[in-house]
Amino acid sequence: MYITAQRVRSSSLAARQGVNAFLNLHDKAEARAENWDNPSIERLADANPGILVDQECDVPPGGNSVRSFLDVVTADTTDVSRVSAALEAFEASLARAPLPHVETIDRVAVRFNAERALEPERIDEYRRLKARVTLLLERWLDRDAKKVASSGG
Amino acid sequence: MGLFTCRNCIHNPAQGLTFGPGPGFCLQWGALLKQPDRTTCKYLHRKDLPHFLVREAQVEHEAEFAANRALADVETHDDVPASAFDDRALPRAERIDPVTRAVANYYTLAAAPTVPLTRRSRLITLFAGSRDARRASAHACLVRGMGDPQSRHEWFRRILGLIEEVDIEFVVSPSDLIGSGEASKADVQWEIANIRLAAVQEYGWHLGREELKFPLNSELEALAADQKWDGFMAKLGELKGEWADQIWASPAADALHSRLPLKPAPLRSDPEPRFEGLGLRDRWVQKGASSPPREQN
Repeated sequence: MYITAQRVRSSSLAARQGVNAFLNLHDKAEARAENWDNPSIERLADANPGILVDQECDVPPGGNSVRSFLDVVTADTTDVSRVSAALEAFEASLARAPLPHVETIDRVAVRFNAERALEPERIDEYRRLKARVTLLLERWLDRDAKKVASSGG
Repeated sequence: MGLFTCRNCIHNPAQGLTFGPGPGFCLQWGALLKQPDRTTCKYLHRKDLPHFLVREAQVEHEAEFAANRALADVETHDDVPASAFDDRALPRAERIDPVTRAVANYYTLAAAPTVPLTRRSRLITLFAGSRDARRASAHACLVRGMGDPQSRHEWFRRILGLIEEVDIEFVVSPSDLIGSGEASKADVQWEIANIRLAAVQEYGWHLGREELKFPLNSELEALAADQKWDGFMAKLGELKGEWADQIWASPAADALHSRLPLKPAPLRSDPEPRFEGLGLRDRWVQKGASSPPREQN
């Protein structure tokens, strides 16, 4: 699973800003090729992101400048509480770390980066992106649970 | 000598009767002066002497060119069409030199009606303290040209800055001289010294201070008459402190600059404004597709 939330600024004159988030899942073949105990966030996010299954966008995606991003990579089967705990722990270490900050916590790999203008408020920025990641993940799992329930599984 | 041409007008600040070849720039009309020694206008403000000493001649000149709306040929009185400064549009042969370009850019920055007086005044300081002859002239003329009632408190600041540099030597390069052998380096030096002094004299006239209206004492006059440049500049260095003191002590000046001091520029809380981004753009990805959401710019 690869979830990313990114603050973007449109290149139009209006320079709209907002947070766009995407949830990708890895099919079984792709998943088998990865070591999910210690996932490589660089390779998964930048080369093997998986299949896009859900998104939540404030600004129409495509061609916008990315001002900050939060990437989360973990196995598709990881539950929300483990991801949330990893994100909390990541936040604690983010305050002291240079950007980009990358850490794997309990089999959840997290990466955060922001342009320098946003660095002084990096924790606030991280929290905004984290909220969007959590929202997308909960929504997807909720939808998945309903699907399973309706199919009688 | 064209005492009543654009060459000798403070609105064309980077040229003089002996220096600044090629086209000039008129701050009065925002126009390029392709032939500054052939053009004039009714708003001419002579550089070489303070206005109160040449008032009668200037009134005559105004009357002579009253029928011309703007720039005119000094001999034929024909109107001269004004051309705006656009560096991109100028043919190579007509390119203006860097100092004139700086004046034109000053005009571009300062002439907009939305530019506050304080900012306009501070732009003048970009010409201050220069060791270049033409920039020294430009600074003196710009300070002199800003004397309107609304900006008197700013004028006060700028005139003190000009007095501070009145004895600063400047470099006259051969390319500054006009004609071929008509003017010498010494001519340029004395002309610019006069331009600086005329600015001080005009300010003295506005303040009503005789010491500033006629700042040359007998010793300084003798040095000027004998063309003793080094001694003249050294004497100016001795006198400039007295002139500044007179301006500070003037009751009229008190009234002019009794406004609150300007707010200082804010300190930065960050080491430097940083605008560089991550160098990434997002991508449009269709649901069901597999593609990284970002790419390098």
